[in-house]
Amino acid sequence: MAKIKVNGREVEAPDGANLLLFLNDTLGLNIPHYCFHPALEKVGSCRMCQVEFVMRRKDPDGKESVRRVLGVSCRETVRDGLEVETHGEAARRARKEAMEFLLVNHPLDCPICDKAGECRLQDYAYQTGQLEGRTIEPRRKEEKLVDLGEVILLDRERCILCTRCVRFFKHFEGRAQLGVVERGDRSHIAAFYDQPLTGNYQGNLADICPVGALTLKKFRFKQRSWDLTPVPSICPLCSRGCNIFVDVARHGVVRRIRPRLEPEVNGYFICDQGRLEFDDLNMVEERLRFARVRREGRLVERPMEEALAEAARLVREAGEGLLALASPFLTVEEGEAFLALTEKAGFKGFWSPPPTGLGDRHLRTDDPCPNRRGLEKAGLQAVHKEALAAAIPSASLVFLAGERILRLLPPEVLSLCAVKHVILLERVLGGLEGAVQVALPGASWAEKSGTFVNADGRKQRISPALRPPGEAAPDGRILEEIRRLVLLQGSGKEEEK
Amino acid sequence: MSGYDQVPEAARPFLGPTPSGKPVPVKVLRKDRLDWKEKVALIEIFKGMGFTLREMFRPRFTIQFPEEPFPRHPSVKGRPVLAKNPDGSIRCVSCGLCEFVCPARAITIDPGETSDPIQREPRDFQIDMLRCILCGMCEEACPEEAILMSDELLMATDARPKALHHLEDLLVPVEKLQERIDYTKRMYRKWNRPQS
Amino acid sequence: MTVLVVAALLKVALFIGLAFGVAAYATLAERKIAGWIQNRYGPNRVGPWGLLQPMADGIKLFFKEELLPTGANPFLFKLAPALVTGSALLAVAVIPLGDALTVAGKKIPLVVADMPVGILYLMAVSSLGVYGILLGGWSSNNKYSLLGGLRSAAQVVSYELTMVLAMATVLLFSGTMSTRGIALAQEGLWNVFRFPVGTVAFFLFWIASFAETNRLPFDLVECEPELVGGYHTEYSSMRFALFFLGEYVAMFVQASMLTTLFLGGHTLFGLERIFGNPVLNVLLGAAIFLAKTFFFLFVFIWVRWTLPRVRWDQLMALGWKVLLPLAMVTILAGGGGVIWGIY
Ligand code: SF4
Ligand code: SF4
Ligand code: SF4
Repeated sequence: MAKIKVNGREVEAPDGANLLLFLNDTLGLNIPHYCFHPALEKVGSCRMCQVEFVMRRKDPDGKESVRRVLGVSCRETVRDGLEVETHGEAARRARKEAMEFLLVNHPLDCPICDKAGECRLQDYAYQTGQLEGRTIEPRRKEEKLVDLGEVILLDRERCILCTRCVRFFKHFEGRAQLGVVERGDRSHIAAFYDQPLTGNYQGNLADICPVGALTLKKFRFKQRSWDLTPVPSICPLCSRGCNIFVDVARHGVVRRIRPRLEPEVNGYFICDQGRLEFDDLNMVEERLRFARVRREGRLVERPMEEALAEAARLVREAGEGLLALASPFLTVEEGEAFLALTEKAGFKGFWSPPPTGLGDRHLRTDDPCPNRRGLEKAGLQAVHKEALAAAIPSASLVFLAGERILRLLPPEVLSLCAVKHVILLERVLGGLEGAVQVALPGASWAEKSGTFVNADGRKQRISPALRPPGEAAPDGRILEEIRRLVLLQGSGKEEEK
Repeated sequence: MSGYDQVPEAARPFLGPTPSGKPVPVKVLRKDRLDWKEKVALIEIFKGMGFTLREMFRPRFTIQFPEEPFPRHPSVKGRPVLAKNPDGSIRCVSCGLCEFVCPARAITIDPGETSDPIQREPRDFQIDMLRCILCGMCEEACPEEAILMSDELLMATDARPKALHHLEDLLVPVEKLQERIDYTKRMYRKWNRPQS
Repeated sequence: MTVLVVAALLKVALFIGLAFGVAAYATLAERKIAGWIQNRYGPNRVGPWGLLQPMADGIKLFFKEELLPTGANPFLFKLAPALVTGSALLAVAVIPLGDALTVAGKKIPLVVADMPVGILYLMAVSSLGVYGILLGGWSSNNKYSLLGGLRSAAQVVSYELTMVLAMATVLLFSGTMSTRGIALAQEGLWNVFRFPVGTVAFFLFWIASFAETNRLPFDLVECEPELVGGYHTEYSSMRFALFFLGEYVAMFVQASMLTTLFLGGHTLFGLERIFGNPVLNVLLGAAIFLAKTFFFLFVFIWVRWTLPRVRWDQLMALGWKVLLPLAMVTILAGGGGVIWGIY
């Protein structure tokens, strides 16, 4: 611990910590900064984090002299005896002037800028109170729409040349793809040889760009940021379990997924699949909204109670003949409920899809099960294709439960199921219409709460961001209800009632 | 003494007995006996008939409302509409500020790109006139002078879907709204930015 | 004979149509004039100048639900409006619209029934109308309706005396009880100009006719502030419309009686015969008659939108203490005048 003085007050700070981070995160001083990003190398080019360093020196003749120097705080580490003034006249003026310079060429795009509302430039412009420009020269004209590949668009007019994006590729991915070209007021950001960006982490550029220069194509003009409600959750696409925010628009549509800071898992970033593949959360048409039960050979929509009772009856009658297969998307709690329901089943487990091969050395893993560790700890076995294919023909009833199970199962397995009686707990009917006896409308991971355990054994909570449509309900609730009915029917109470 | 003295003299009779217990004599201003002319009332009847006869030929007071417009000051806040530029382009850039500020949540914007991909305009702009309370907050929030309170006050419909106004129902040439624009400019300057 | 039968049928149709038409448009006129007096337009949406308004009202009333209050006497309740309208229509029979036409050698007077005792008939049937009101008020099983009916009976009895006396004065002058005869007898001098007796009788009759038709300022029978509509409070749909129609037909009858008894019917100082063609002259006479009648209808309406309603005791006091003595004096004076040959 080091003793430093901030604005005349003695505070203790961890030795060697970044001064700006300490001032902002620990003391909450809210010093503006653009080029500084905790995950990237510090360059100190935007000059927004300037503070006043007070230097005291004893002259040989014993007289103390004080020197005050303006300097950027982002490149300073905490050490004993450091003394800073953050909100003195000089520091404030320096920051205000730096801000004015940044704004000289910044276009007034806010009404159509996707960053508006979470833009640092906006925030600090309001803070420093510069409402009108003092320049009369025309603003710099630059290209406003540069296609940087499949994920990102660049607006050079809005760029403030903080070079965060350049450093992101250099330091996080280890493979530079962007650079600052030209000099002086013609300098701008460009991709090398104007090649489209590659890699699985381009989407992060939209987050780290402090202004609206780099924006997501997928989010372009979709929603204003203040209309989004961020719901903390866990990305279910691989076993890393990156922490994310699911941003939901007011009419119940997921518009964006972005990383949530978790130093132990994903830090500040997530991969592009996790960021961009959320369309199926907004699925409307194909969704099962109400339960369906086979009546006289046809699947018809019936009230939930009836479908649950029917499922319970089938499960109880099947007894040993039940083959129960859970989706790897089930939460820990749901896994437990599944296990309790299928205690008599002859064969049970959760489907373990083969490795995707998408893994890399950053975040993404090869395992597409978000909750393998959790389900295994709950007592469910991972089931592979061969075992499953061998077991299905002898089963009298197949129970498939959980989000995406139909999509994850290979076609050979599905065709084996297609000649069986099937109870399906899913969001869609998939290709099994002919075999399904009872279809129960389940929920997606964004519609339920629960726990995922990631590849490192870390328990993390997901929370509901959307409401399931119609009578659809979280899988756990349905599983528990079926189990209750099975017990009730078994004890003959149902008839009494 | 009670507050009796503070009561104006003319109102004292209504207070009842004076503090000393003696009732205050009340002076009746109205004649309590009618004279014969008033009793017969014939003169008054004919006066009245004459009056109504005269009134019959006086100009009408009524404004024949739907056909005959009644004069409206630009301060009238009618149905919110979207301004259309003389070249046919939509002023609104679907920035969503009105959508956000609307206390009744009447506005829903579906934004999209214009033919110029760096510009944005609403693909659809819905105002649910069953929700709108004509408060004018959208107008005040708009950075583009795009949404304005028109002087249209006829918003009744016979079907719910018709109360949901879409982009094409909302677009109004900007010239028609000029008066309102000038008015709001003047007023918002007065209210929001004290000139130094 | 056939000519007479056909003519009689035609006349019946004409007079009933006329009475209903006048009544219908009197409702429109009522609202229009009310509008003008109050600086409004009155109904002007249905048809040009609102001319189709009565039809619209009629259609509307036809499609309204017919309500029968619990505890009402259904038979009397349904009978009452028919009585009111029926008696008013019966009275139309003796209105002498104009001079006689000569068709196929037969003289056909422009009156449905030119009876020698027309005036007596008129008094008889127009008094029947009060039964409708009384029965309607009583059978509704509603205290306001009942009060309305009672008031109606009392009011009509009080003012009918005055009315009959004023009428009798006219009979003294004309010496006939046939309405047509009375009208023709005034060709030289209208009764209203037989000063002072005729004039006073005219005004007495006029005032009494307000009470007789239950019009303001004497509409204590309906009197919305006190009685919520009086005898027709409980009526809806066409039954209500029949009361309404009866009231306006009665107004028309009273106005034509005023014209016939005091304003010389279809005569206008010989002007009604300026055409050489007798048919045209008859038509002109009818027009003159209707013009006078419409003037009185207008005054009915005009008074309604000018004068406030009198109090019940004032109404009775006026009827018994002022009008009736005056009417007696008038008839005595009239009789004296006739005996001594002044008139
Ligand atoms: S594009 Fe954004 S992150 Fe890159 S230099 Fe410009 S402002 Fe910084
Ligand atoms: S505030 Fe103005 S520019 Fe923005 S969306 Fe509303 S109407 Fe369009
Ligand atoms: S006038 Fe008010 S309620 Fe209506 S749309 Fe505008 S902001 Fe919403």
